[in-house]
Amino acid sequence: MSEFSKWDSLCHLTINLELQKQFKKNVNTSKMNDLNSVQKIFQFFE
Amino acid sequence: MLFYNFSYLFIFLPLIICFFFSSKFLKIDHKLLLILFSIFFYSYWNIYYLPVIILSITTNYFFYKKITFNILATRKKYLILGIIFNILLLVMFKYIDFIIQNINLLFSTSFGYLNLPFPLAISFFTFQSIAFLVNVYDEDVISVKAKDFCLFIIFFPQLIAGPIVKYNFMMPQFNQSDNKIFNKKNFLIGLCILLIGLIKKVYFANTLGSYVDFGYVNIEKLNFLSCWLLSLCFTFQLYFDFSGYVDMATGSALMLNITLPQNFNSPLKSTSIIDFWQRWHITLTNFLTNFIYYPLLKSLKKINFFNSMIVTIFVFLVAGVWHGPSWNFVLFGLFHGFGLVINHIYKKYFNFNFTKFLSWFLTFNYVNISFIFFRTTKIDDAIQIIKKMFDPDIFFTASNFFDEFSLSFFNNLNLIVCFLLSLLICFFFKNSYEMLNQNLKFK
Repeated sequence: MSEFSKWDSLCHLTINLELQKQFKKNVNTSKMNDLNSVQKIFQFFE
Repeated sequence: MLFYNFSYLFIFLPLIICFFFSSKFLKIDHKLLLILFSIFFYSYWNIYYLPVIILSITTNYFFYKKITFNILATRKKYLILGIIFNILLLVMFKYIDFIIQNINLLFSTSFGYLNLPFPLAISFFTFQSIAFLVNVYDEDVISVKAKDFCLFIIFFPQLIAGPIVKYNFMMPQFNQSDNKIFNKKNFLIGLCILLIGLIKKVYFANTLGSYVDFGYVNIEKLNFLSCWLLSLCFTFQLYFDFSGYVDMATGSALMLNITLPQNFNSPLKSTSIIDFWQRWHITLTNFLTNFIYYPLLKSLKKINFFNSMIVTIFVFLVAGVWHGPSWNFVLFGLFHGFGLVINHIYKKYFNFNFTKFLSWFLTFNYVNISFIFFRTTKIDDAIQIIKKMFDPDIFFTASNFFDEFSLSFFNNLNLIVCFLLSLLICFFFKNSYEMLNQNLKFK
């Protein structure tokens, strides 16, 4: 995520919440930071 | 016991290494051995602090049991109770006199101070315990033995000054049977990091520190140049002191085949305040993000840019207070909170880019000024120094350019060499992790 200059913690939270809604799977806030790449997000929601 | 003491380097550390790697032959439990040595390490400073950490460990373990073996609604109640217990413990021993002082000032009362001892490392083990309970509640951590939890909290390398570690990061390493066997490569790399940390602490931080101490007791005598010298020296001192101590912790742990997370990544090379907090005390930033920023923001009705900035300021207020019971630390936190807000606004709404040098220059000076609040004991002193640093009169009255303090700096060759080396190392050199990265097994 850090490769995108405009990326920040707010974007990170927003995308996580949106994915949780779409996939109906909860991500704990304490784990959210670990999902810091497309690959990790993909693996988590798969 | 401190990492740079003779007793640690030449007695404690060699002894624990010998016992740890021979625990299999001596038929001693290696975790128990680490716990006993860690208790000795902690008590060596002051044995009266020991009951506090034992109280923290036993109570948090009790909450772990309650959170794990209860239904969801009750689990949440115990999590909240656990967090309240940890915060109360911290407030009781670290902030109570500060609170009493402010109540007395505000309401003209005269409540007496409690003057309780300030247990070493309480800020670190409290945060680590809170993180642990949240992880237990989230079911990231399951099936924890009392001995494992005790070791997780009291493990001596990370106990005093961090890094703040997660249970799931540490425990697999203690459980791995390979890690009980002496590893020559880890030992040598660990020794290298320990020595780098020792040099940072003993030579750089202490040399700069003696000059900084002298300056901060004579603030009214300082002028433009000496204020800049003083603030720069303190910025380097703080970096070398803290990162040196963490290096010694990392090195000591690695000699025992335990990897600690990186806590500093050349923070003084940062090109923005956002970048700075991703490089300075990284594990604290991660803790604040995961356990305060995200939950708070998530709990708000509207998650938007404005709310996230309010939460950012609040989080950095907490970060400031966490550093110490003083209004100076509150201001330090707020200073960085507002810095981050400005940085985010710039990033979101402005498309032009500063040059890398200008970005670094602005960031470094912002951080340098913020550290003045970190070192002074009174807000007035900090303001006095900052005023002198930006005093426009200096350009018109060159006769007062050098004062006693700046002259003592330029007359001290050792200090000049130390200062110039600090500049070189902080701005141009790779950090100890980058240098050893290819050989390290950092995760």
